[in-house]
Amino acid sequence: MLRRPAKPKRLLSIAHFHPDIYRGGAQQAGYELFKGFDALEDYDAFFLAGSPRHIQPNLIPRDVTIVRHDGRANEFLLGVDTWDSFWLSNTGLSGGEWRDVLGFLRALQPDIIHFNHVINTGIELLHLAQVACPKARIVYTLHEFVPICHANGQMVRTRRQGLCDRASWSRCAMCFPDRHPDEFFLRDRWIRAHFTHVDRFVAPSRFLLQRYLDWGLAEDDIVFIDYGRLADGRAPRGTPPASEQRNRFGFLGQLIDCKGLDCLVDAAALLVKRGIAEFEVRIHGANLELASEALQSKFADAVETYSQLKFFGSYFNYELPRHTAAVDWFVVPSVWWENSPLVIQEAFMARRPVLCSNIGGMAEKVRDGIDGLYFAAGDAASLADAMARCLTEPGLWDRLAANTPDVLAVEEAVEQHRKLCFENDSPKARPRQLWEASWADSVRITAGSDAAELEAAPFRLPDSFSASTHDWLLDS
Amino acid sequence: MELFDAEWYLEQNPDVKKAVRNGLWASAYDHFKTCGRAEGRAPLDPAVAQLLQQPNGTPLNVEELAASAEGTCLLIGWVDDRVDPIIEFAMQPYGGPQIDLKQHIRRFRRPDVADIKRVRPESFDFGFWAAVQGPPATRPEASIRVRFASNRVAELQLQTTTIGPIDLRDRILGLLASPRNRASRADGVDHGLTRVLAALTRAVIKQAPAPALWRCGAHMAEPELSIIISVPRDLENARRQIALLAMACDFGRIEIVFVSRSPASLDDFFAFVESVGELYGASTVAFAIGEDLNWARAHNDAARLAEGRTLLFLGSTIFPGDRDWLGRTLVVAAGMRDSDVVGACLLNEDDSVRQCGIDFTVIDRRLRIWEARRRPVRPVWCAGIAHAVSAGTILVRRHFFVELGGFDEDYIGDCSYEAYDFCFRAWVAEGAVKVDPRLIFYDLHAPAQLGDSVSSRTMPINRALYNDRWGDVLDLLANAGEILPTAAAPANRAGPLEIANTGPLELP
Repeated sequence: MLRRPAKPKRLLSIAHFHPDIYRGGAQQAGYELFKGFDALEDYDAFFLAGSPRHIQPNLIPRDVTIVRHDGRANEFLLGVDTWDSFWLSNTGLSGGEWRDVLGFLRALQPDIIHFNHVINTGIELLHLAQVACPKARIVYTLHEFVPICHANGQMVRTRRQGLCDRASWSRCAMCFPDRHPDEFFLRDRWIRAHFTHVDRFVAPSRFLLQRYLDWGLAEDDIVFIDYGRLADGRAPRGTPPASEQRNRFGFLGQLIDCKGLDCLVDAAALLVKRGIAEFEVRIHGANLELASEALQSKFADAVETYSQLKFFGSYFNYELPRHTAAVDWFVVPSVWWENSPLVIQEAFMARRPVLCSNIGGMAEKVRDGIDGLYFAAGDAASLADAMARCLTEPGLWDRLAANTPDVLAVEEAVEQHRKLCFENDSPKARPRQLWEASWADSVRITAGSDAAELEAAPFRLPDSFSASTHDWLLDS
Repeated sequence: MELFDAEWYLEQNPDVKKAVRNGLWASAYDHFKTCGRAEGRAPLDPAVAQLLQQPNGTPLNVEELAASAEGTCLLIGWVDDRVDPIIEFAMQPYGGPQIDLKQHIRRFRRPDVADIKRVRPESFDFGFWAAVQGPPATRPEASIRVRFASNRVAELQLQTTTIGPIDLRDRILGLLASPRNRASRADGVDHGLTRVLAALTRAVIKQAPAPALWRCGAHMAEPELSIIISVPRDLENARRQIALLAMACDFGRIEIVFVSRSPASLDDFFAFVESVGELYGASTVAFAIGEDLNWARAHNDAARLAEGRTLLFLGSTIFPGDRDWLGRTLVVAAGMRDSDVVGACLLNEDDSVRQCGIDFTVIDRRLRIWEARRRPVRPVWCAGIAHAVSAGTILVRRHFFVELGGFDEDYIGDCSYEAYDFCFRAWVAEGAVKVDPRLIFYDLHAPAQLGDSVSSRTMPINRALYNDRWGDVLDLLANAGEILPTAAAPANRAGPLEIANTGPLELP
């Protein structure tokens, strides 16, 4: 039985993973927001996370679709067997498990359904939510560009790893030569059609917001709300670094190619070559096994070669304060655009300056020369220059650290969500035009028009039409 | 029936090979029919010829066989190989070991048939299966081995097996896949197999029992429109199609008839149909037939089951143009005359138009005027009268469709010329064929992953039938500079215009 406390509002938050099971920024941010709502007097909050059975096969029996997670009253896992990353489709769901999900949603009857992702759970869940809870407000937080870009939602070209500034069916087909532009065209329409169910989108960075406006979302349909963070581990302003030399750089994040670990390793090597050896790069993170073989090999060699590189493996969230305290500078060298990297917030929470790539969400969150330093994305020499400056410029750390901004608290994020999305009284702004073609308006008919309209409508050949070659038509 | 193996013929007759190479003869067959036959030269390996005859030496009588349909049949076939799609005369019982004949089949390769290179080998599961009538006593029960002729010829395995009509139908898929079948029409030479296959297929289709009907959702009396949707084996594509069709509209008083012609799983297919009913509020009827034999038969059956006054046939590659598609379709349906056949603007992903196998550039932003690409023909004012419309979308009154006998079931396999044939018959019956620019759909083949369907295998057979029937009309249109309802030029046709399906469809 689902608990049904008598609270005026009921929220269901849906994420692609439970952070207990698979760590990552988007699910962490979604979960923290859920916890923020769960703490409210007037909200009854539930969390439903996708859980691919191959990751934790023992948590969800084969014949069960949704299970309670870890004995918690309001957290659930949705078993996922078959995930189609191209169509963002949970094909098992469409095959038969939709009945269970529909039953779950109907039993819960949330007033607000907040999607933190559709990976794993499937984009079809948007339609199921609409069918099961037609009166619920559907809110969708966008964490990267998966709906726009099939290349892991990163908008990075697959062939030369260059940054991509816009999607088109032909450009996408160039990145995936085994797929026809038709397929990207239909993928786009398929996603846009499902997005018509969404009342309000949330963008955690203005950069990402603009990308989605360019893609076709209307300004009224999307709002900017940064990630709100739980207060655990937030350092008070003025917290001193652990080292007097301020020569310890930290990398915290997933150890996959797009995070720019490659660039960081090269920059460290460059510094050593320049004769600067008195520094440390402390690397914390998981998922190295998902990195390319070239990166895995290069990273292993570099750690062995350079004593400055220290690898500590993966970490849990509760360990963050300890790790951040042992770092003077955070480095965020991602070679994709990023959205609103949690690691930047974590750095600022610990009052540490950030060295970051000069693109996308990173460049938005960090101010060059104020609370951090930019370097050219993917450019090891540029990063090495920035690191050298950190090691040699007197007073730089104190100045940048003093300017680190306050990070949005989860309580503030909760308030913003209530005000801008969840309890906004404005009529449902369904972006129904999202998936329409440019010609749609010209052929639109209104109720009451009849078949004679076609013949009756004035017909005029366009100026570009050549009468000499098409005189038969003019004769008719 | 005349069988001819060009490569074998040239190998056996080096003088002819030299003459063909020097351009004295257009092809080996050209030589054979002009003088080779009279000189007593064999058209193909006698051992191969023997395989395609009954014990008494007479050719196969497949019509008779299919009429009786039960009994012991000798299956002769060949298996397509992934590397070389033209491995012939290798028998493969289902699940049995394959015989590697790669070394031996090169002689069956036809370098004069260019399109074989475009064949996607992975699409062939089975090769040719013919059936020979004969009681068990005349055929051994066990497998036998037959050596062709000389040492260089492959060893064959023939197998005797008992099959019923359903099994027979089951094997026709493979039969239609025969590359020799494809090749025989491609160069205008009938090697004999084409007619065997077509006759067998048609005979079996006529025997096929009524399909299993499955209805879900509340029964709807007199729906406004019956949409007939062909569901491919890949249900995921069908889900996307129906989701897009349904996402922005209310099906209301619309009935959907799903036709599955060879579902991978009946359970999955019916579960899919049920989900459409529940998730999209549609009244659905579904039926499935076991084998993908005949598009026309399946769609005629669907029309028999449909209850709407108007039918909308939608192909599996058709996706809606915008959110108003259904409203506009209903407006068009309400205004059409009882003898109208209406097609849609079928758009490519770049918003150009594809209709009747021809690509057009849209000149007028209201999609009313298109200009054919790369063809020296007149543009089409699409709101006007057309000669035919694609099978992807056809809007027609049910009673008119029934009166005309529906799609002609003499066209076999997947859809290729049935729709054009139907349009011409509608025209003969004083109906009007139109493309209405208010009906706008996208016709996207890649996402539907049709692959190399039966269509490509039966295309030559159906094209020949179409050209036989409508060649004179096509000539008239071509001479008038009109766009023909297919990109294929009329060729190799014989005989006068025939009108198919002389009687109306029998309704349940």
